[in-house]
Amino acid sequence: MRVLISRSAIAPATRTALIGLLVAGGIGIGTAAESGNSLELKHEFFWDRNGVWNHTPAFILRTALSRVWSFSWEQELDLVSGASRRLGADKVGQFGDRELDAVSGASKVEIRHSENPSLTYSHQGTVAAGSLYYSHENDYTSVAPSGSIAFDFNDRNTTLGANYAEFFDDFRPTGAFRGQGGKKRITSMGGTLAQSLTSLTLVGITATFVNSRGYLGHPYNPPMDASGMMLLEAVPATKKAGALSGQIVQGYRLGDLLGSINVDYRKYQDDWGIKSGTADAKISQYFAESAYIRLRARYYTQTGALFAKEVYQGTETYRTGDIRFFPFSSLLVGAKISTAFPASWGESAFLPDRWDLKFDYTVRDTRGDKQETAAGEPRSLRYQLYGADEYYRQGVVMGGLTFNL
Amino acid sequence: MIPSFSHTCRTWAFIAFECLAAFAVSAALGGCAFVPQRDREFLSDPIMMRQDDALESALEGHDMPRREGSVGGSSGSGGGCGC
Repeated sequence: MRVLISRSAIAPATRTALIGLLVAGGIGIGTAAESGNSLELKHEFFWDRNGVWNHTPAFILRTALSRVWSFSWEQELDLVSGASRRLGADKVGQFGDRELDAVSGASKVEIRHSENPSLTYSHQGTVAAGSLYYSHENDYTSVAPSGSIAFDFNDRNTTLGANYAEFFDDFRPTGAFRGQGGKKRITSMGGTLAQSLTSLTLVGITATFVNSRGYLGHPYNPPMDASGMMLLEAVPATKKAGALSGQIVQGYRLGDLLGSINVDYRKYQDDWGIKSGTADAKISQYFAESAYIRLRARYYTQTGALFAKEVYQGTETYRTGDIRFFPFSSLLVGAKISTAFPASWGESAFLPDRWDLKFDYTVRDTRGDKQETAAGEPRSLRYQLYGADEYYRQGVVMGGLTFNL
Repeated sequence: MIPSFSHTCRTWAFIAFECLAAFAVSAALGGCAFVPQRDREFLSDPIMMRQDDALESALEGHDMPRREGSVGGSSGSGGGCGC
């Protein structure tokens, strides 16, 4: 039945929906506590300053199997242009009439798809979910069974959740780097605690531990020596990482309209020496019944791996040119609008009930390379496309439709 | 030698700190607040949740790390290198 999603209409959804998101956020399990049938469509368009683009259509279909069991299917397609680690690298490719990138060998255009079916049990404050994630692109396959469980207690004011996922990844590079790569195994586990403090205040804390082993490198971005000659990448075969995040959601009333401030901070550290911090703030405000806008600012900063440097001698145990392992910071600003279609559209299930549209804009600096320049290294950046005084810029536009079936 | 023994120890110490912090917060918050069921309407609203849109969050978790070139900015662990 087609209805407007108003605040009163969704009120029966309990805080377990939040814990479902908190616990399952990293592995894509959907809103575990929802019991209705729905179809949510999204289309995301990404571009950057060099004209590289991605088109990413996706959907989630949720259906209630019984009063306590529900099933969901998350599907994602990703049409990628030049998604090299070298930010914004274009004119790259390894098949058909597409040019090879002389350095990275990454593809100019390729298609990635992922599927994530999940089954959820929800009864009297207990939510348990299991899912099987599968992702494939021409040189990378990932399979990840996962499970999560959450309990409400303290008269449903407190929710405690845990999740576990095991990734079985297989990286088979193509082009000039064929023969490198290998299998990778990732174990991810986490716990979350959420607590209602007042009728307008919710806090949560999430701890995550990730143990990775196997082939953890990325041969498309080889390191270089002082003469510019490429060297084979070599990184450790294990990595242990931990992350701790805390969030607070504070609601407020502006007349009869609800608004909220949502602040999230995440601290990450691993045994390769990388530390990062992420501060994410959102302000949401209803401006009409079932219609709200959201403004967002996110700041991210990380240090580099202990073995990451611009120029190698070739005798080092570990070498990398992967920009993920170099220090940098980035700033994202964005806006989103989400609203219901008017009830006058009728009751047909073929008509959407809600639409949303968002825009995110990100600027990434090259702080780490500036540090190398100060130390007397070459001014031209070896592992990124830009000079030390330039910035990498990218944008995302995403539109969505939701059907209550 | 990377990762060094000391770095591994510091990482484990950080993880242990996580667990202690989670336990401490749990002990501090458990039972300290009580919001009756009838007053929870706003807590159930999408804008009161950490992620108001599950599919949007899933897409961001998959795509942002490779586009941004970051390691620890999201909870995503695997699922394709996107390159």
